[in-house]
Amino acid sequence: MTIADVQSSPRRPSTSPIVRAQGIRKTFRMGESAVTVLKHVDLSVKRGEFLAIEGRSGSGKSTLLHILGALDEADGGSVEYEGVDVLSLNGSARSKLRNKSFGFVFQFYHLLPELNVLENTLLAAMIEFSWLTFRSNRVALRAKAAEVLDQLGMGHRLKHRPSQLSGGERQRVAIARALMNEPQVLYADEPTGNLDVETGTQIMGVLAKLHRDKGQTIVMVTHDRTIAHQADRVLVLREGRLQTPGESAEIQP
Amino acid sequence: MYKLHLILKYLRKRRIAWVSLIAVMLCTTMVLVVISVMGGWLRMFKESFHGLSGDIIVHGESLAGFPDYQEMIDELEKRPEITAVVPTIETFGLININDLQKAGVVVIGYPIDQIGKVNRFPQSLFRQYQQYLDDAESGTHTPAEREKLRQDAAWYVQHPTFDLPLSPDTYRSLQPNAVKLGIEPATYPGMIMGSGVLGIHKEKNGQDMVRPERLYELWVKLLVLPISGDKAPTNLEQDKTEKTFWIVDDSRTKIWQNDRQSVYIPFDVAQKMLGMDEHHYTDADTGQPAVDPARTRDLQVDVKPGVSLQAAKQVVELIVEGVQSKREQAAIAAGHPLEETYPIDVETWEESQQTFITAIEHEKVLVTVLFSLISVVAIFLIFCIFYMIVVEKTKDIGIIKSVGATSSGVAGIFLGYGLAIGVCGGFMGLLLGYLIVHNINFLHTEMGKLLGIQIWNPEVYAFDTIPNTMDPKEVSIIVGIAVISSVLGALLPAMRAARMNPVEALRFE
Repeated sequence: MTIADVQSSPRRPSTSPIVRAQGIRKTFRMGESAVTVLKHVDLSVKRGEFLAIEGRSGSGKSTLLHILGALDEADGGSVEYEGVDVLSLNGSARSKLRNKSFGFVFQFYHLLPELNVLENTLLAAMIEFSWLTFRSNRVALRAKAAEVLDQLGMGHRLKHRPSQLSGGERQRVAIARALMNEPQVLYADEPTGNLDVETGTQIMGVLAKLHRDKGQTIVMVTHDRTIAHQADRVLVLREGRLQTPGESAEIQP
Repeated sequence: MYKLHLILKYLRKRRIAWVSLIAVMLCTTMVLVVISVMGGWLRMFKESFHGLSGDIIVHGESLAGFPDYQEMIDELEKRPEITAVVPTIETFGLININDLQKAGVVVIGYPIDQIGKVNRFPQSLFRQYQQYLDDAESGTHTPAEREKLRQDAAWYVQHPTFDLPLSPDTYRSLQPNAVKLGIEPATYPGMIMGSGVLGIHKEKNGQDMVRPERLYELWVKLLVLPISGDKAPTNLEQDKTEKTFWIVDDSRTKIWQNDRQSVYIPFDVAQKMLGMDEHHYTDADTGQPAVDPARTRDLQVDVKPGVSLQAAKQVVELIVEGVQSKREQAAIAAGHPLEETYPIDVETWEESQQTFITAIEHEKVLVTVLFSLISVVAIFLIFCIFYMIVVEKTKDIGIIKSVGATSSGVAGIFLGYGLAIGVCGGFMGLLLGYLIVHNINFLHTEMGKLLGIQIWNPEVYAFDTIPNTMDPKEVSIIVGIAVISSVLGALLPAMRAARMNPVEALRFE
């Protein structure tokens, strides 16, 4: 199976794993000292599943998410997306995967300050299409971005800049940007970590609705057990390994 | 798409990039102005000097000139490569202008009716050419009148003359003492003065030229020293020649050195005054009558357009040598070999001015190199600014990469940014450079008025106006280099941005 096949595959409920990781290892080196954050991580994510990975700060959960999302490389092990070994892909193919198949939501929103809400949302589409294609489909793409934003309750703030938005609004825009290219998997890295409880609950409501209504596959990492337990399944990252809560190893569904 | 979008956003929002843009603009302007002025100076130099001489000059190395020039002219004009040959004389003299001014000058003898065939001297004349054009441009005439004035100017270019412009009675009234002595002032020959000799040149602050009133009522006494063609010693008491002229016109060739020290008189008058006309004498050694042939100092040769000057020069050399050789053989056959030779040099107009042209070309190269070195500073400035921008935008680079931008795409943003700055800065520099070069004489005049300084000294630069034209080829090269320099300045920061790990970039604080 090629990346092209992966990208063209329709989103459908399935029990087959869409993402599978085996034996992932990751060590950070700073001078002579080395810290191994991921010792041997095995993971399987089913299509349409809402998986939460819980862990303390510094446990390596964000690193695991970055590796699963082809943002970072592992020192060992493999990550398969739709049967394709992500870690063996070249930089360009990984970029394409991040653009078309994966969506990212970060704790600190990471919106481009020079772009307004609509432009930030359109960023993934701008990267996907050439100038000519984008220009010719501009109206449809803008309408789609506006619709996504509207569904997230941001339809009235299309022309605002990130600096003019609240934390919750920024995170909604970040979710809209992640959803713009209709990703197969949405990776959320502490999506409520920078928000107050009420706003965090609203954002979790958005993710839960996406999962429930559209069958969106979501992999979320969080340090907040309450937040984590809103997912279908929770795994705990402890001492570089994934465990089910209260267990010493992951329990396969 | 995102690259163009972000480049435009960054151009508008990142004001620090405007510093790069201004640096590129100023460097482009600086180099354009310098190269245009230097290049224009070189062009003016070549055009002006070529405009005052034939394509090829047969030059007598001695002030005594050389004989048999008419035979040379006849032979040369038979050649298909050559359109015209005109003899000229150049020597030195002293003048007294109406007892108002006395000066040392270069005296040039022109056969005025022919000189237009080999150079553009007639177009340098004021009374017989330029005044009609000035009048036509003054805006006080109807289109028909302007056309008539232009036709008059064109007619005079074809028919320049040393004839006196005023009536004989006027000249008589101007020199009543001469009339009393039985001298007819109206028979004095005409003299054309270099405009600078009369003080007719632009003021140092660039003001328009001021012309003396009643210019054509001034007499000029010219003193020259004849130089015999034979070996007879010169007797300064007896051999000096003095003659009175009337000023009939003034010439502005725009070459400062020429205009400030040259006077022009009829060729035959110059020949007579210098003893270069044919004259008979008794040989001191043999006691036999002898003939000193007419001589000239130079022959100005006009070559047919399209003919190689070097090829034509070889033809001229052969003919000149042939005529000289014939004369020597005739003398040997007559039993009295020539004791005196007349060294002749044949050179193209460029070769005759090679010393100056080479010096200016070298100066142009030197100045170009110096200013290019200064411009390298702009590349480093762009590099520093882009490096700062890349550091400042590290998180943005991580965001863009996380959304799917490739490393080459990220590099493309910053290279495109550099290109945009180069293109905008280059063209803004071109616009500013054009405005400065186009108005450089006005700016120079205003600076002269305001600050009392004179950067362009005509005594140094040979011309009284600063060149104000731009060479499209040079402009294209300079703007092109500005664009390339900007991209080069952005190259390393772009590569750094491309190599950034997206996760590290996202964590950057």
